[in-house]
Amino acid sequence: MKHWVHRLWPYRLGVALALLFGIFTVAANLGLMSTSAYLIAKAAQHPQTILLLWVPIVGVRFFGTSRGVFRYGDRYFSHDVTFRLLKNIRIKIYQAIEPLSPIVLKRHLSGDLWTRFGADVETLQNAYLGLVTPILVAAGSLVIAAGVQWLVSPLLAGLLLVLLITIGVGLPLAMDSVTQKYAAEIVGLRAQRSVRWMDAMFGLSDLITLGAFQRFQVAQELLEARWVEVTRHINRLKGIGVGLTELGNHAVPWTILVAGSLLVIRGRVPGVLLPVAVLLALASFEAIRPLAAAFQMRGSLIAADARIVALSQDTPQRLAIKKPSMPHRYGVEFIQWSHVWYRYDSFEPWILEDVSLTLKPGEHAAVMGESGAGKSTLISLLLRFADPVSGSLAYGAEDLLALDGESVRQTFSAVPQDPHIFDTSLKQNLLLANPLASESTLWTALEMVELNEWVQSYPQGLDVLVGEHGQGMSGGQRKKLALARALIKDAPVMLLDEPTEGLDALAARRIMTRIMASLSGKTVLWITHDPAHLALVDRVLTLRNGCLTDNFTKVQHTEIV
Amino acid sequence: MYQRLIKEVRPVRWLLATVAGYGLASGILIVLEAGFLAQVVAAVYIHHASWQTIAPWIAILLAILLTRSVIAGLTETASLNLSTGVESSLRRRLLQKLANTGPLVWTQDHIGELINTVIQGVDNLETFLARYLPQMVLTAMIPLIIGIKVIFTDWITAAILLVTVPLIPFFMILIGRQAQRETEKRWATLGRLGSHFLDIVQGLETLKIFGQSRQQETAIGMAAESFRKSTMATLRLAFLSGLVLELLASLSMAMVAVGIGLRLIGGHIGFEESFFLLVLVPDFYAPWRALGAKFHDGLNGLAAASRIFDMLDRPEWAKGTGRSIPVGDGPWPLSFESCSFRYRENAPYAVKAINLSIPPQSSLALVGPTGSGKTTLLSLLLGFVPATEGIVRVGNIPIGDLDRDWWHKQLAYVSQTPYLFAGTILDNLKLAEPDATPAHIEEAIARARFDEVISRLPQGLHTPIGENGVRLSGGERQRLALARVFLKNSPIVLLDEPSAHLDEVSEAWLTKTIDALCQTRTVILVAHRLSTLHALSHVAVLDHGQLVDYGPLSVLRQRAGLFFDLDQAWSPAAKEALR
Repeated sequence: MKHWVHRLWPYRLGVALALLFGIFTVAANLGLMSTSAYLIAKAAQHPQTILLLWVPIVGVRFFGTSRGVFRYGDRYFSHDVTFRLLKNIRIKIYQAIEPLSPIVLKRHLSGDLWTRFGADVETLQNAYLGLVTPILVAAGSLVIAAGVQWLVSPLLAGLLLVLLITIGVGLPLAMDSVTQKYAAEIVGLRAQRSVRWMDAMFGLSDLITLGAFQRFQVAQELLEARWVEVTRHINRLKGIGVGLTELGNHAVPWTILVAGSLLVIRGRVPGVLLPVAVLLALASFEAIRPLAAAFQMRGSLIAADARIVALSQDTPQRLAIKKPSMPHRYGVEFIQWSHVWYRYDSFEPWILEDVSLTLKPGEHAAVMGESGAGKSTLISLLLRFADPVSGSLAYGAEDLLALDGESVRQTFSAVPQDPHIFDTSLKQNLLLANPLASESTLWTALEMVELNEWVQSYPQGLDVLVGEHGQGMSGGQRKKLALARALIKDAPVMLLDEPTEGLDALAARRIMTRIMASLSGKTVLWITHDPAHLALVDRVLTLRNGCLTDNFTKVQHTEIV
Repeated sequence: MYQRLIKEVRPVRWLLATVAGYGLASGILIVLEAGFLAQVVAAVYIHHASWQTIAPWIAILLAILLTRSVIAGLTETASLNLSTGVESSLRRRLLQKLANTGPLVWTQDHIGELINTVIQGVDNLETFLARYLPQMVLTAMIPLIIGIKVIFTDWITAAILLVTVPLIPFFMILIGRQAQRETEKRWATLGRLGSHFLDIVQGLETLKIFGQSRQQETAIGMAAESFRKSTMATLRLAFLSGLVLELLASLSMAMVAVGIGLRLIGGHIGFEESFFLLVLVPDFYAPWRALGAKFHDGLNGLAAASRIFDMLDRPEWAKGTGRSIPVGDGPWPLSFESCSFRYRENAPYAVKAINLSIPPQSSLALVGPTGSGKTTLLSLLLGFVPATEGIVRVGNIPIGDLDRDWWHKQLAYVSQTPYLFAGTILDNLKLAEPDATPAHIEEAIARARFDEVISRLPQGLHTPIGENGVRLSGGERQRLALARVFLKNSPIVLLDEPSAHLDEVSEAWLTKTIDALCQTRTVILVAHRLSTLHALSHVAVLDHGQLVDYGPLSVLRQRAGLFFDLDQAWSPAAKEALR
């Protein structure tokens, strides 16, 4: 809760208004019911003049009209606060995630974990409307309901308060703890089901051609049957919960009726107030109604919050330490990996085992090896996305591990293995590499990767939308765009991670020949698994099972093949 | 959509019947409860009755509210159970649908969205069935019962209610439509805002390479702020619906109270009736309010239902007689007879007029630039899609007439991206042959050279892979998939770019392995890299869906044409020529 007070503090005015209107909405109903009851109770005494009824009539009219307006204000301000909060939460989450290593992030947010991350962000931003407001509004309204009842009788007020708190807070919490056992199993079953459906959809052709689909269906049936069984238990409990809530809902006015009648019969409370007490009790249930849903939300909110906090704390310690920036921008220099060891975690196999490598300034080197052999890690370490377990990295005279990653990356341009195309215009995607690049620079780069004709086929030209919601690009086109983007960043070193994947041999040859020629004088590290590409480089390295097993020049390589 | 739901999903009828029964019972009980409540209050206040007089009524009230609670609880459980059943059976039907359609029907879709429909969509439908639909029935029944009682009690109050009754649905529909449009727009922008955020987080690696990651903070803030401004402008309008509904309900309550109060002074109405009406009027409007609050469940549920039905409506693969099996043990000769295929009518042909015959125990490579139709040709042979024109034959039986399960047992297929299932490595191997002996498995692993991978893993064959386990690299996946092929031991082997993730050492080994496979089986291989080809007897060259060249490898190597160009793409001579 302290956490929430902290988050909501910047919007205290909006929050206060939203709460005020929320409470007024409930209060208006309480007022409407109790003044109405008072009105007819008074009228039943057949007063001499209607003037005696003037006050309750005005009250009834006022509350009758104002409730709609209050409701409007409540919804308006609470949504406004939610959206302001949404901005704040997004920025906060981004600030927590931005320093993470992309390697860590990729391992955490693959597949369904990714969708869950999206859902967690949504849950957090909905928390204000779903959790904080109902609780505070309920608290405020309870005070008002009890306050009005106090005017009738302090005893009835105390009784009302106890009943409402028991039903509004005690009942949901009790139901929560009873369902807990099943809820945990349901969460597990749902996760399992999610994974199984991913298997079914992504692995459909494998399942069918392996003749395994029927077996898969049988296993799924078992899972589904268990789910139905557990859900039925929960449904029964939910039914009991609804029954008890309904009972509570009506037990409040019933108890007040009994207690009130006794008080009137004994002459402790004037009879004219009995209708007021009963109708007030009837109406006061509205104050606690939203609490059940709010408490249900609490669990998912805490889980979402914990997951996002856990994610942002997963940065390896050494990466998180603030380090000095690279003193100045370097030209083309030696690049050196010495005795580098790397693995993701202490229980996983080594990815790089004692790898040493020096690239001369301006050298064009290819790294061969199966995908996943550790080639991409060579690049990731250089880009300071992760720290080696031991060993060092140097650029010229600088020890890269002692420097801030952001400043180190200025020296490099790269096409990562899985380049991301942003859901915006082609132009914005290209300008990412250099916001000051001229239009002619962009076109030159597009021509080099043979994407210019494709772009020209759209009337919007460079402004054509690409990415998820834009024009569908094939895998090959995405790689081409990523190559063009990397070329636009004019850095002394170019790192290429399988940039021709998805291109046919003829196109790959034309494009890479052009690109390697244009990069002469700069250092290039090109990861590939196609021996045909070796014709374009000065030097070939081979990485197998984490070790740089061979390290020979192109001439030797051709002899072996 | 409602008709479809009721027609397709039989339990919905029971659901509606149950809820209608509940609506009737609770309507009557509401009226009874209000009646006794008013009787007690009137007795104590007006008639100064003793405790003995009111005690039986209070006991009856208690009985009523206990009954109400029990009925409410039972109805809740019943409707939840019914929707759980619906949910479960829909998922079963969707899974069966996958078996009936095959994979190619879904290639145009975003797989993530389909999974979302199955998981989230079916959930939304449950909410719709268990919450929204019952509320609609209750809204139709409870005000009706209360209204009838009010007419017989006090026609003036009944008139006030009758005036507002048509106004409420009118405003609900009028403003609700507007609000719905606005809300839909709002959810769409909220969705876009969400994906903008996810887009940035997903592209963090790329952003960092270009030193742009820290700037994105402002972009996120600006997007959210402009979203807030535009949304609040529309919400100002959309919230009017709530205002009007609330106003109608509370104003008519106020009018009823004032009207009754004034008539009570004149003695035109009794106190008991007055109080009875006062208790009853809020119950008259409560179902409408509840329905309004569940508006979103309704929208989401209908949207989900339409997405689910869309999945269930997908065309299933053409079924022939489906019983035939060619004579002999296989492999059988395979042939494409003027086969064409396109994904949709009016779409360009993915493959066109292909004539190709593949003798048993031979090997064929399919070669051509990206998008030339190689994989489509494999899909036709796999029976994933029927040919738009022409016939694919196995032996002399058209593929549409084959027993499909039998046919898939004769095939081993490794796709471009073999999928590994959540579970252990052993689970994944056993998918191909559940009854495989450990010796068989060991042999298959050794032949696929997957044993080197296993030896590096502490848990060996029992290592979990996939989402929460060890991640295998592309090359390792490829070998695991090949081990499955060896395990399955089927007469026909189809490989889609098997060398895509392998280095040259593994590739040389793969070439030998394919060579060994060709001794006893028919092997068809899609090849990107031409260096894998020398084990194969024939090459078919595809370009833009057409077969442009066919012949033995040695012949094509010498003949000018697309194959020659692809083969020579990286030769030193070609490189020189380009410079």
